[in-house]
Formats: sequence, C-alpha cells, structure tokens
Amino acid sequence: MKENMKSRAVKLFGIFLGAMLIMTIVSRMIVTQKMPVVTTTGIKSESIAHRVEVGGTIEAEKQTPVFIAEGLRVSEVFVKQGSKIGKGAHLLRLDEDYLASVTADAEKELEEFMEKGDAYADGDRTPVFTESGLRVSQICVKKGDSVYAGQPLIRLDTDYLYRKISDMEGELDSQRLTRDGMYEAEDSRSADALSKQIDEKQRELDRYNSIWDNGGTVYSSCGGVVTDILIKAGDITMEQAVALVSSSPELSGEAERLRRRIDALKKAAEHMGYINSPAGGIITEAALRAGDLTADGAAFIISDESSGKVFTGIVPDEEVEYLKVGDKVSISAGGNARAKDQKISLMTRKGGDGCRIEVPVESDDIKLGDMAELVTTKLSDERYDCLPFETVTAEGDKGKVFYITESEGFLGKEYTVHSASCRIKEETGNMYALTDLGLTPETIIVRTSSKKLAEGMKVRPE
Amino acid sequence: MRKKAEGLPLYIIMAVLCTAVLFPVILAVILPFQAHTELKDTLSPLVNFTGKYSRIDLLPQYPSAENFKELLVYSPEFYRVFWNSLLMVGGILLFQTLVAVPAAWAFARAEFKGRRLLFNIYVIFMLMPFQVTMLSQYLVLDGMGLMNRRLAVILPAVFSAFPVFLIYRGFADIPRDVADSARIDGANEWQVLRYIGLPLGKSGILACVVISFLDLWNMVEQPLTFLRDKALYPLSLYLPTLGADRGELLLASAAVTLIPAVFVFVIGQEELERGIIASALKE
Repeated sequence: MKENMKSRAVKLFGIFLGAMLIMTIVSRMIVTQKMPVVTTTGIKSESIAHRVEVGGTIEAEKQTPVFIAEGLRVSEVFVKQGSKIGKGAHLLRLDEDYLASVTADAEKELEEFMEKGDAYADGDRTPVFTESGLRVSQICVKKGDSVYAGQPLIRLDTDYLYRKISDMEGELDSQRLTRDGMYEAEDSRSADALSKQIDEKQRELDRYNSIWDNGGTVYSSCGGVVTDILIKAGDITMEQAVALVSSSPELSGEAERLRRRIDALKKAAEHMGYINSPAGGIITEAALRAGDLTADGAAFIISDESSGKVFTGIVPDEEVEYLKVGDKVSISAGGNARAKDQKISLMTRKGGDGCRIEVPVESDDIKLGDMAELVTTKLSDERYDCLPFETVTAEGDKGKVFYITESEGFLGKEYTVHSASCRIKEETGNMYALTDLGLTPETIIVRTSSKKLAEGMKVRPE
Repeated sequence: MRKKAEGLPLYIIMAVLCTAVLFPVILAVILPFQAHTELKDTLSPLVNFTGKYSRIDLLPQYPSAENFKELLVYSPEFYRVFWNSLLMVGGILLFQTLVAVPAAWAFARAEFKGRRLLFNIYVIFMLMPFQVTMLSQYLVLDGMGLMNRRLAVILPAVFSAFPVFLIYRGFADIPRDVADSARIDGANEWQVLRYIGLPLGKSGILACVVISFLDLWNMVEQPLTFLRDKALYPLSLYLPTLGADRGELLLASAAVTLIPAVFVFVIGQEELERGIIASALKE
C-alpha cells in the first residue's frame, strides 16, 4: 500500500516538474507578448538654432516726409503708395472753403490768446516809465503791437497834470519865503536843509513841466513789440513801468504754435489748396484719402530711390538678444526676391516696443515699398537637452518624456518605464530643446513604443 | 472499551495541538484562493500596521484561482527562482551524497589513527551555526572567484558534516562480519561499500537526503550572503521580495513552494522514519 502510494507520488512529482517546465516557457512567452517593445535614444546637449523672422518694409535711405497742417479736409488725392513723382508734383488738394474757415478760426484764436494770456515768453524786455502820481487818460497801443522808438504809448490827463504843476509851484513859493526868513534870522542850518528840499521839488516840477511840454504823452524808449501794458486808462501812475517793450520778442509755446499753424494754412491757401511734393521719388507711404481730415503725422513719405534701399522693421523684445549690428541676415520680399548676407547697420530701442532695425539692401529684385522679411538663424550660447519630436508628448510649452531604467531582476536585466515632465524651450530642426528635464545625459529615453506606456511598466528595448 | 474511553482525553489534546500546528499550513493553502479584494481586506491590518487584528475567513467568500493564474501564467520570474532552487538543492544533494557516503563508510569501517578525533571535529563542525563560519566561507569563496555564482551556495553545502554523521549511523549498524565475509570472498573495499554498505545503509542515506532537501529548500542565509543577482535567487529569497503589498502573489507562491517539499516527504517518509529510528537505537 505504502509502496503504491510512494510510486504514485513519484509519478505525480514527475508530472509536477514536467508541468512546471512547460509553464516556464509558456509564461515567459505570454509576458514577452504583453510587454511593450520600445526603441530608445539618448539626450543630446546642443545649442539651439534659433530662427529669427522680422517683418518690415523696404524704404529708401533718404526719405522726405510730407507734413500737412492738422485738421484740414482733403478733397482730392493725386498719388498712391508706389507712385513715382517729381519735385513739385501735386500730392493732394485741400478743401479751400474748409481751409479758409480753419484759417480764420486759428487767427481769431491767436488774437484772443494774445489779448488775454501771457503770449510772450520771458526774455529781454525794456520797461517804459513815467512820473508817478499822474492820471492816465488813454492807452495808445495794445499788447503785440509793433512800436518804434518815440512812438506814443500812453496819454496822461493834462488837467490833472496842470493842477499838479500849479500846486507844486505854490508849495515851492511858500518854501522859498520860509527859507529867506531863516536866513534873515541867521538860522542858516535850517535854511540849508530847506534849500535841499526846494531843489529836489524843483527837479520834480521840471519833469512834470517836461511832460506838460510833450502834451502829457509817454513815448516808447525803444523799437520793438509791446509785450505787456501794466496800467489802464483812469489809473494813477506809480513808481513802476507802465509798459514793457521787447526788441526781439519770442512767442510762448501755444502762441507760437498758433502762429505757425496760421502760416502753414496761409501757405496752403496761396497754392489754391494744392500740396506739392517737396522732393522727387517714390511714394512709400500714403496715409490720406479723399474726404479724410489731415492728422498730426506725415501724410506722405517720399523715398529717393537713387539714395539706396534699406529694410526697416521692429524686432520684438524677446528676439532682440539674437541680433546685433554687423550681423549678416537675409532679406526676402515676395516671390523669389531675396538678398543674402546683408549687414545690420542700425538697431535703436523703441521704449519698450522692441527695437527698430535697419539693414541696407543691395538687390535689384527687391523694390522700394515692398513688404519684406528679415530672416536669420542664430545658435544659442547656452546648451539645452534636445530630444526628437516623437519622444516628447507636448502640451503647449509643457512636455512629458518616458525614460527607462535598467535593473537586475529575476529574469536578468529588466527595463522599467518612468516619466519626467519638462518645459519646451524651442523647436530646432526635428528636435525639441527642453529645460527642467532633470535627467542625466546617459538616461535612456523611449523613442517609440508598440503599446501605450505607463509609469512603472516593464518594457523590452528593441 | 474502557481502555478506549481512558485514552479519549489524550486524543482530544493531541487533536487540538495538531490543529494548532497545522493552522498556518491550512491558511497557506486557503488564503491564496481568496479574491484579490477580499485578500486585501484580510491583509490590510498587517500591511498598514493599524494595530487591529486580521479577520480571516477560512472559507473564501468568492473563491478564485486568479492568484494562481497570476503566478503561474504571468510571473515568469517565479519559474526562474523555482528552477534555481531545484538546481541548487539537487546539485547539493547529489554531490553531498557522493562525498558523505565514502566519508561515513570510512568513519564507520576504516581503522586509522585519529579517527575518533577527526569524527569529533566533524561533530563540532556540525554543531556550528552558519553565522559562525559565514565570514570565513565568504572570504574563501571570494578568493576562489565564486561569489555571486550558484557554486558559492552549492560548494560549502556539499561538504556539510551533518549528512556524514547521519549516514555514519546507518553504516555503523551493519555487522562487521558481513563486510568481512565479503572481503574473504575477494571483494575490495569499494565493492564492499557498493554491495554491502549501500543496500544495508540505504535507509540512513535516504533519510539524510529527505532531511537535507527540506533544510536546503528553505535555506535563506547562504544565498542571501553569497548571491547578488536576483536572477540567481532561490524561492526562499523570492518570497520575501514580493512583500505584503503583493500578498496574493506571495501566498500563491508559498503554496506552490510547498508542493515539492510535500512530494519529497511523501516519497521519503518511510526511509526517513527508518533512518531516524536506526540512528536513535544505536549507541
């Protein structure tokens, strides 16, 4: 019985071992079949080839802007962008009626301004004085009037002046009698003091008499423009200037602006409203159309083709670091027109709005006024972790990378998948330049996989 | 009848003790049949160290062979360690027997100076735990360039003192006259061992094989010390690497690991009993 059981146990043990042997192969086949097969690559540390593209226009090196007084109505425009014109050619015509009305308004505005405000800038002014204590009967000039030396400025009240002279003569007579009495009483000290007062008063009286002789008129002491009148009819003069005259008057900012505007309007009116080109060339910018009101900026830009062509554009702030004066760039403009190895001649900051760039262009294919593009490729100084596109799962500027780690497992070398997040700095060729990847250059990166990967999954490298 | 009634309490006590001893084995067989979620609930107090006791249903609520399927179909590493175990244990047993049988025969039958002393040294070595000789074994194996190879586990075990001692007991039982008569008939020493010693000492040899198998099948310290690559690990080291979080696989592995030991025990039970009795009766 025992022997029977023993032999049966031996048989079963044999079957068990046989089954284990078969399952060893089957199990490994099944797991191998389920295991994703991956291809791998390494991390390359490279400089980024950054492509800079800047849009702009082709302009002449010498350009003449045409400014037109602001706020005028355009009745007709004779040129458009790209038109070739000669010096003196008509550019546009302004509405004459509108022009006349605007001119009148401007003159009126200036006149009002001159009267009420301080129209002149502080500068070299000559004050005009007269004796104090006299009454003004008339102001002969107004502010802004041009006067010559000796021109009457103010007339004084002669009746008032006459009374003033009579009173003064009476006082002098009385003082003289008093003085003679003092001498007779041999009080020479008091008599001398009184004599001094009498002399002074006499000189004052002489000045009044002089004004009386001039018919009570105060004259301008120099030629120029009356910049200020400090008294008005009926006032009593005091010991200060009654008017200010400037031989070289300067208008204040606003008055000057109005004056210039009026000049410009009058000039336009002289040409029957026509605005003519100040130079010959090609119109590279035309900002006005019939019916528009003129604005503050240049209405036209006239480019002189013979002076040479230049590409101008604005480089965004984030691209400025890749360009510098002297760098060679390509300029392309529509179709196949292209100029290679053109040097950047100028880069100027535009207060937070990027940087204005100028590149002289030597190409017959590229024309003035063309919309053009500056293109160049720059290698970064910094080196970045670069991986092929297929290795990175990109979402915006974020990316996810699968990598595998090698370990010794029960079946020999085992490869386990892990994921790492990163930021995509740039696309360069068929690679992503990445930052914040946090992996060593030796890390094995998964390039392709036969199945969807997940963290911790075992894989088989191809 | 009265005699039977008198023995009943003893039987009951024995049955209770037997159940207590068998309980872990029963659990090892039952638990792998619990479904994954049920097993997770059962093991969670142990895994999470919550201080609560694990509640074990002896009958699974949803019996399932999924755990065995996961182990036997989707865990090829299990087979790797299984065959590693079998290879190491088989190799040790084979060469251990080849070394131990002549050595034991020599101690039992040969007359030479210092035999008793040498045998006593053998017994002392047998009593030494592995930890005592671990470092020296490590240094020797490293010097031989055998580290991290299966031979590092096999070679020291081949020259173990215990089998020599056990088989010696079996050979010592054989009457000297039997061997002498064979010599008179013209048999040399090898033929005496082959035709007299081995048949008569078979039970001791097989008992030694069974005991050694059960011991080697569960060895942990030697492979842990001398092997580094997981690919060389035996089953006894594979199970702890699964950990409690993969409890379902661990329990299924433990159940399957039990099978060869059970087979060997069943096959060698008779010889084991005989060998132990023979050893116990002598001297």
